[in-house]
Amino acid sequence: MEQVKSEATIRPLEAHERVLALTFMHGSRRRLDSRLRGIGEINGRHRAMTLDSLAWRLCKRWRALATSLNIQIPSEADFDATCALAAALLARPAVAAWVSVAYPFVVVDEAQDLTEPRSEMIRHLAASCHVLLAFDEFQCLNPTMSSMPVERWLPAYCEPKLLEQCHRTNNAELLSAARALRSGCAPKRGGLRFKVVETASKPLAATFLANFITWRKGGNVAVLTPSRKGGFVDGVVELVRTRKLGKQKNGPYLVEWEVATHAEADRVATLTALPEQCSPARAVELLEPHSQEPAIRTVVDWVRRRAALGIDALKGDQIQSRIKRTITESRHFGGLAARKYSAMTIQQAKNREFDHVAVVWPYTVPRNDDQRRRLLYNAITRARRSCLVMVQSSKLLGEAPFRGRLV
Amino acid sequence: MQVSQIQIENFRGIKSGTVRFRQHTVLIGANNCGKTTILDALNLVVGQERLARRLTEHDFYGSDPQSADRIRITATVTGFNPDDPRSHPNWFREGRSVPKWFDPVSGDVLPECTAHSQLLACQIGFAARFDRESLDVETVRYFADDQPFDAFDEETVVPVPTKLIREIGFFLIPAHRTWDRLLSFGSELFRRVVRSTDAMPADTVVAERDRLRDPASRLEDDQQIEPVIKGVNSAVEKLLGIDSSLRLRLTATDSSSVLDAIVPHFKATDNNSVPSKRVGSGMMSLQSLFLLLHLCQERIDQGSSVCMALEEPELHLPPAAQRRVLSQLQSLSTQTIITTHSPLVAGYCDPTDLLVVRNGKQELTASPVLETPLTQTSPNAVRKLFQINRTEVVAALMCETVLVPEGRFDFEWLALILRAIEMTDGGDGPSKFGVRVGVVPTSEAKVVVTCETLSGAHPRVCALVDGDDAGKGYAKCLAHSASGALRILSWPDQWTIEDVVGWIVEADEELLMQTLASDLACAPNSRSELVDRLKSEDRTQGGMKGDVVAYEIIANALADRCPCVHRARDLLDAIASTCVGEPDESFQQSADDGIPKLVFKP
Repeated sequence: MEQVKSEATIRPLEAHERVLALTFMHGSRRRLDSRLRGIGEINGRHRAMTLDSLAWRLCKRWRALATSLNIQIPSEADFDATCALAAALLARPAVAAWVSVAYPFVVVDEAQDLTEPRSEMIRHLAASCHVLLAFDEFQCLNPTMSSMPVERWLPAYCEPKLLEQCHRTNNAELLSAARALRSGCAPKRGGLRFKVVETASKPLAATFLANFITWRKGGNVAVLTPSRKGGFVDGVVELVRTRKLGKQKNGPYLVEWEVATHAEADRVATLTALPEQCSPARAVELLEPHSQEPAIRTVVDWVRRRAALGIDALKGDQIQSRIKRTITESRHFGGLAARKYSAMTIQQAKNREFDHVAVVWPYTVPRNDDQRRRLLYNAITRARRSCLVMVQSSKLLGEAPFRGRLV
Repeated sequence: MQVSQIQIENFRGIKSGTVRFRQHTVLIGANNCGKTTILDALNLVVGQERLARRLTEHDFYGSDPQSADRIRITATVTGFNPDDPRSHPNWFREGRSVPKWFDPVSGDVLPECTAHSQLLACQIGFAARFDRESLDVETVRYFADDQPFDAFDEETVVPVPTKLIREIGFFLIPAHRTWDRLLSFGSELFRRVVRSTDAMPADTVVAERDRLRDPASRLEDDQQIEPVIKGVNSAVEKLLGIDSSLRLRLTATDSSSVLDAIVPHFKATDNNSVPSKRVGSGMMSLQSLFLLLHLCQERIDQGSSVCMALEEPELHLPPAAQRRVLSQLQSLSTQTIITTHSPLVAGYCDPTDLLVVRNGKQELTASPVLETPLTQTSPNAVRKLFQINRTEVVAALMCETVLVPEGRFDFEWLALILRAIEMTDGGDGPSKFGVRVGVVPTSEAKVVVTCETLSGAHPRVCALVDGDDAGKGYAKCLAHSASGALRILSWPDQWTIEDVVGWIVEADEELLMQTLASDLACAPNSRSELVDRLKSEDRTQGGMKGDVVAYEIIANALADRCPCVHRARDLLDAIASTCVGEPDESFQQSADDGIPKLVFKP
């Protein structure tokens, strides 16, 4: 952000220019958007979007060029193909110039998550825009990505500058635990703000969690876990939700499991069985019984609009993907209602932040040491104020990430 | 900036059509062929004013739009200087137009520049749909990235900011102009002139407003009306207990009603002036046109562009002024698009700028009268067509069918015969020939090259050849020519136009010959002598070929004889029907020497 500020001071933006902020996921898009809003030097002249939506816009608006190059426009849901086409378009100077005239500065956050086609988009943008790229390769949780695609072209573009300081928290214990995990060392277990405890049984873990919530002194709490397999975490959460626990009889606390967007989308989309093809009137008839779902209401309006536009036949899967899209969009753009107590997997928590994080570390955690370190690192770095790690057994405590790498 | 091309779909009488504009374009064509529709389409897509009235079902082709029907108009705007999208960030960037490249030769619009001759272009689209539930017409103006697509069903449609539309500077002066409206502050055009030239007389208007708020002599104090006012005031006071003090003021006493109340006056006699409504429209149109020219001048001086669309400049203007006004308008605008019904106005223009508009059942076309400018190698007959006889050629091209006779005398005779018919209206209405067929003054019997040249501009060019050997030769050439005549009409074997005149005379031979004997300087003894002398140029032997005075005498004599007029009328009607493709038994298909032609059967 300091860098953006100083660049904007050296070369102020023209009336038609904006700073373009790009991320892979919507959570970081929202955060980047609010950070940029705080920079007086650019005076609100910025646009934050995900790479996927930039790619889709590029493909749609330049489809005449794509067609002349004999490239088919992929469907909107095919994000990777859309990004690959966008990268191919951006490789052409006319398209890159069209973007850079509007956005001379491009800020990319969480670049460690960029897959090959998205990384290619940035590479081509970098040829005509001034690109600021931020990444932390240790935050990449995608086990299929062995190395970061951006690293393949970045060395030829510029020398990365190492940012030592973490800005999410200024708590020394949390910072040092994160640093230790990054370098493959064991984090210090017993602190005030970062603590690792052994909780072999569900009631014990639940008591620790209830006490953690009680003593936290304000702020929201997220229960994070690398794995819900085996039901340990679900059991712990259920106890906290239903019982008063420990000597002080703390609780109950209504910790809500966060439903993953795709799961919610699948649920609503499959409420109605739609035929392969039907008339708009028939589609409305089938959807209306479920209109208590806001997404269904939105889609019913969309179907009606299409009828008014003179479209006689709709495909069932087209309507279904519309429902999914409506849910995804409302989640991404409306943001999730900030709950006081929530539970989710570490994957779901990616790119988000909470005041207090409780990590439940069960037997069913993945085997791979490096992946374990990344998981715990991601969980800890979500916390602004404190973090408690509850480990299901002493055996686990003797393994990575609680034990350092053998030198 | 200028509009290089417009594509129209489903708008009023136009099912689909593309018109490519020059820097200065003059649109000609038969009545109801779509000239006005083209200008209205331009106004919808690049015009600054919303159309005065809202669009209705009648603006859709066929007047019964279904849900899926769209009016779609796409304008290709060029003239960006330099032709580099990066130099025009307000037009070409993410969130605005995608750059396109216009090929002025082929008219193609390409997504990438492939040759130096291509021009940077922005494509602006306009779409309208009729909502069968709300009965409203929904419209949208957008950057047309690709075609075809439904702007109402697209999420990435980007509307065109009005600021950019204003940069194009498109102004439309419709034919149903009322000049006194044009010259008042109620007119958007007039306000724009004032605004764009910083000429708003603000101080005077505010002073006038204040004077009207507090007039020197108040209406309500007038002795005649005072008792009434007092009565009203006391009644209100009794009823509501408040002092309302009714006052009468001219206008609503704000500056905009002062502006609206302005009525242009023109000086009449001495110090008297009269409001514009009472002045002849000629005077007023001149003043209004000067207003327009001034607008153009100011915009051009500021480095902006002016695209002026003017319907029928011949309206209200004396011919002497037409030419000057036109050339001034052209020299002061970046682009002009003019429609006209006047061969005179069309005659002022370069034939490459003249577009003949034709609206077929499926497609509207607009082809230039002459594709490329005349060169020194152009045949003399072609040069004459566009230089000496331009007005007549243009008049012919405005008709549904163009008839190319063998020579100048055929042209003269056909015109005289037509006049004879039209002078004696037998209650049969106007001659079909006069309404539907335009005759070209062919020179030097260059019927083949004339057909070839004009068929580029007009899809319905027919040839009329003599029945002599030369005529048969021309028919042969025409039949083999690639872009020649649509149909070949021929006089009977060995006939020329003079034989046709003789045949018409035959209808009432006795009486007619008597008239001619007294009217012509040298009386012909028989019909055959008359025909022989009409064919002969030898004046010492009484030859009358090309003797326009003699032609007129004969034509006038024909006009007096009913049977002759009937015969002539039938003949011309038959020609007209044959030209437009309606079979007529007077012209029969013959394939002598393998050449398909329609031969006249007297």
